[in-house]
Amino acid sequence: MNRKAYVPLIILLAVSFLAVFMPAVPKSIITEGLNGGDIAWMLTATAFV
Amino acid sequence: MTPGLAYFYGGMVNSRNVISTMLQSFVSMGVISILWIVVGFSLAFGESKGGFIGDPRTFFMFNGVLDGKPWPLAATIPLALFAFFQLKFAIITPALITGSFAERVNFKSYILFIVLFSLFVYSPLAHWTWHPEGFLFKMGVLDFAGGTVVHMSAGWAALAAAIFLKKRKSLTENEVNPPANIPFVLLGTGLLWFGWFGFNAGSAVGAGTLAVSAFATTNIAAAAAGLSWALFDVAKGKKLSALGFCIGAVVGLVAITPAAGFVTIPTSIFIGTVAGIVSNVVAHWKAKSGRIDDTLDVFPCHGVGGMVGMIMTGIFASGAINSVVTADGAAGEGLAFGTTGLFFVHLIALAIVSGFAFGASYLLLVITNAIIPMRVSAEEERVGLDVSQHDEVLMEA
Repeated sequence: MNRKAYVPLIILLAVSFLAVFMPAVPKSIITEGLNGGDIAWMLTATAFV
Repeated sequence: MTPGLAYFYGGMVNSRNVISTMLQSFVSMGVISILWIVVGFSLAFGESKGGFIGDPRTFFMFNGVLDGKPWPLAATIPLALFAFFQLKFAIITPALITGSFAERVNFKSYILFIVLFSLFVYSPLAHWTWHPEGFLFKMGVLDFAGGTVVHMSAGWAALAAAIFLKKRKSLTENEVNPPANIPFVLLGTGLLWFGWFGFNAGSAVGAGTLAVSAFATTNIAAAAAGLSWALFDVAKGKKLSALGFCIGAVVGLVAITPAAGFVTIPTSIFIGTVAGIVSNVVAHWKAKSGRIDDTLDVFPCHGVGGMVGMIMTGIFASGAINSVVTADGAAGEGLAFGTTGLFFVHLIALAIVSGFAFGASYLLLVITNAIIPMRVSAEEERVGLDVSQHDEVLMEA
């Protein structure tokens, strides 16, 4: 068995567990100054890219 | 765009390497997406450390992104959306490099290389150019959608990789390796052209007239460059080829990328035409010299195309198109408007980015190779990467 082959999987598992302990829960969502049209276009543009 | 790139490159390699080449683009979506959440976005857009790199703790694990203040230069969209738009740029940049070492790279070492490239080349360049505290940004460099950060960095890294990995066996043995599937190249070009509207018009970070202008310049430059590459081939006595038009169109898209939101729509005809011819000449010269095996001409297309775009932005950037050009602290309009500041700033930036992208990428190739050899064995190369790296074949015999 090649132990080195496990290294990438172990790194991914470590990041996955880290995500559980650091879930980045938002304190409050900022909506002031945001523009629905701009958001719609940028969601579309992001999907294009 | 990245799946489009997979088809674009996948159609150009020989039939024994299609799957591996396409997968190199797809796996970038997997690896860089995770890396971006963990630390990549912080390195590129976190609190600036001297204008050179972002603090990796600023948005570590995306902490503070969903509830963060909108990015100062994208004030009408949530920070998380800006972060995801930028992620797509971070994904495609290392994927662009794959064309240079196609048909001979070890897939595992490729994954390690793109992690290192993203952390130590892409993120710093994004910080220098797009962060308000970045030192190139402060110099007044204008890069609307990634001419330096995406295309020049990928182009110079591709040149470093082609030199480091040396020539393919098939090339040294004068074996003929025709492209596996030209319709794949046409499909990939179509997907890239379509996706580039998001790349460039999206870089206006809003649904306004600037996005419309960038959308138009993007289409026109691609059209002009596709035609100029193909017609230049015809003028040299070659037949007008699908491959030539497709590569030319992509060169046009590359060249207009830094300029898309700064130049007028007719100017994009000139930019596309010049870029198509210059890249064609460089690609032809490189093929004729035979010294460097950049398999799919990534350097002539993205490196040279990106540099042409940067220089053209320094010549044609107009304050009437984008007020950023003439804002306080900016380097001013382009050479065509009688001011020299922006043009010389762009020449300096071009030298800095080229030197950094080539040198740092070469160093990362050396480090990667020391951990996992980057080149497959001669036998693996002979049978092709689809079988040797993945145990998969394009079509069963």
